[in-house]
Amino acid sequence: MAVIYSLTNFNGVEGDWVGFENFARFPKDRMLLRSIGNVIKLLVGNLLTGVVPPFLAAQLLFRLRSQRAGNFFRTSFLVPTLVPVISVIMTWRFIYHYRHGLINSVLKDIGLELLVHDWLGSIDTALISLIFVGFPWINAASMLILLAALLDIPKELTDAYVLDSNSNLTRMLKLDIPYIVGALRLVIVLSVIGTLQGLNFQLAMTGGGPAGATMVPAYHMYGMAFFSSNYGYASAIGVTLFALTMLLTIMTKRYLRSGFEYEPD
Amino acid sequence: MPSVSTSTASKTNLIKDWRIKWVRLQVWHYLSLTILLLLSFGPLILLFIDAGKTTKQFESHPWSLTTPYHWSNYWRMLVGMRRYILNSSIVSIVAIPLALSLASYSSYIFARFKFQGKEFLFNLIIFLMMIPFVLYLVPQYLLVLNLGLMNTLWALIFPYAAGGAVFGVFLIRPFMASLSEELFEAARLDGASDWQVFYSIALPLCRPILATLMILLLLGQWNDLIWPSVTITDKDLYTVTLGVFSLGQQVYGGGSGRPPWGMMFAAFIISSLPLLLTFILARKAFLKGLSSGALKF
Repeated sequence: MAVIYSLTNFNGVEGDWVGFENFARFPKDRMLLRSIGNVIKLLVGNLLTGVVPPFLAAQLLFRLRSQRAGNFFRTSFLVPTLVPVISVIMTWRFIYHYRHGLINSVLKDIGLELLVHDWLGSIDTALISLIFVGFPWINAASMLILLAALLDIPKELTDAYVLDSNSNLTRMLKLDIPYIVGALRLVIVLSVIGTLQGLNFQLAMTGGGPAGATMVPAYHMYGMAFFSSNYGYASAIGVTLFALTMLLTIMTKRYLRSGFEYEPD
Repeated sequence: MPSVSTSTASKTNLIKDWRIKWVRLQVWHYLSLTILLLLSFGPLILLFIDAGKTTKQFESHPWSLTTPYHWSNYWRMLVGMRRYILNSSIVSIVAIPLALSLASYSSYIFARFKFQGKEFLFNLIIFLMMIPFVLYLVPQYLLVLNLGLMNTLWALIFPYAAGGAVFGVFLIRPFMASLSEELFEAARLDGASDWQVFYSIALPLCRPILATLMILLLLGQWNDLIWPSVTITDKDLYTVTLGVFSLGQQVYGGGSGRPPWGMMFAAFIISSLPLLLTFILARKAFLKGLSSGALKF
């Protein structure tokens, strides 16, 4: 149905069929173009923070000898996920706050007043601040998925590797990563889908940012639909977003296919 | 012989070196994990520190602990937010059982019976699930509008129940399919009707995955900001997310007078309590559910 709407100029009350005119508006919509640029940066940033830290944390947990310590850490890391997302966002809004925020207050207290910044309000820092939220970025769910995959690696392979090379780093790179490609792929896809569709940050934190610095296609669509009542155009954006998400998901599945299977002898 | 003793000595040294290295590695692991854990909890600790402040205390010391600690902030926020918590709870209490029952019954049918077009229907459901909400945000909104359900809790309940049911079928069907058929055969031989087989045998066996589903749905619904923001305009019907959000707007939006910083943070903590409670109560079922599926740990 959304596809149908995208071909009209429905405004909630009446609409005429306008064909692809909505889509043709895309290049002329400067806010949309900005949002595309932003979302690309967000994709890269969120991909890094959404995959690497959980992977490292999963590795650390995996190498722990004591089962009880492992359980303890595992459950503990889950606790911060229970805080509702809006509360987290609002808390980070506080951290970034210009007058009373944590970062600026600490900077003032230790004498680095020169570095004080309007993190969310300046065009150059706004987007990066969004990516930075959630430090240290250990999403418990992703970490658990990766940990489960690590535990699936046959022990004989791990032992063989330990005997051959003494370095933990090579072992991690050469053995673990190829073997858990499936789980990695899942985490990557989740991150991509989440970023493309995310508009919570914009809604609750920046409203699109200082002069569109944090505008994102999903939020632009939201604005078009519910502030401008331009449901047709909004649907057009939605449809395109959907097609893009599908495309990226399929591409990821294709390029990150497990290249080989270990044969247990 | 000299070579033997040297080799023994060097072997012992080798083992000792390896042991030391192993212990050092473990210590390093523990240290890093603890640091990461503390950092993850950082914002929570911050919240806790700041929740007990009056505005004056906050403005002079935004992040250090101040005395006296105003526990009354929590109480006042609990009272203030009780309406929102009630609304979110009502929505979940109605929507989740609806979703669970729909999903489990449908999964049962999908898993155990053969009929024409079964695979096609199932793939259709999967496809529907993959559609991101960005696409059905607008149509769903217009649908709710036309049904006259705007600004009621039903506007939340129905989409949540429907979405939950679809996701539920996806989760439950593999589980159902893996149950051994002999059990059902035995029951049928004893004269059980189809409904009895479903209700008394299949359903209880699915408890872990049902618990997992319940928690996932609960988490998703309580965290949802976007959908309630477009359907609920009546302040009395706000969900927890909307409540927290509007409170935040008051503080950050600059308005008149002194924004109630301390109480806002207390509200954040209060908003986490219901989920925390449910998690503690359902923890065992949840972990069991995760480990019986593809994720094992």
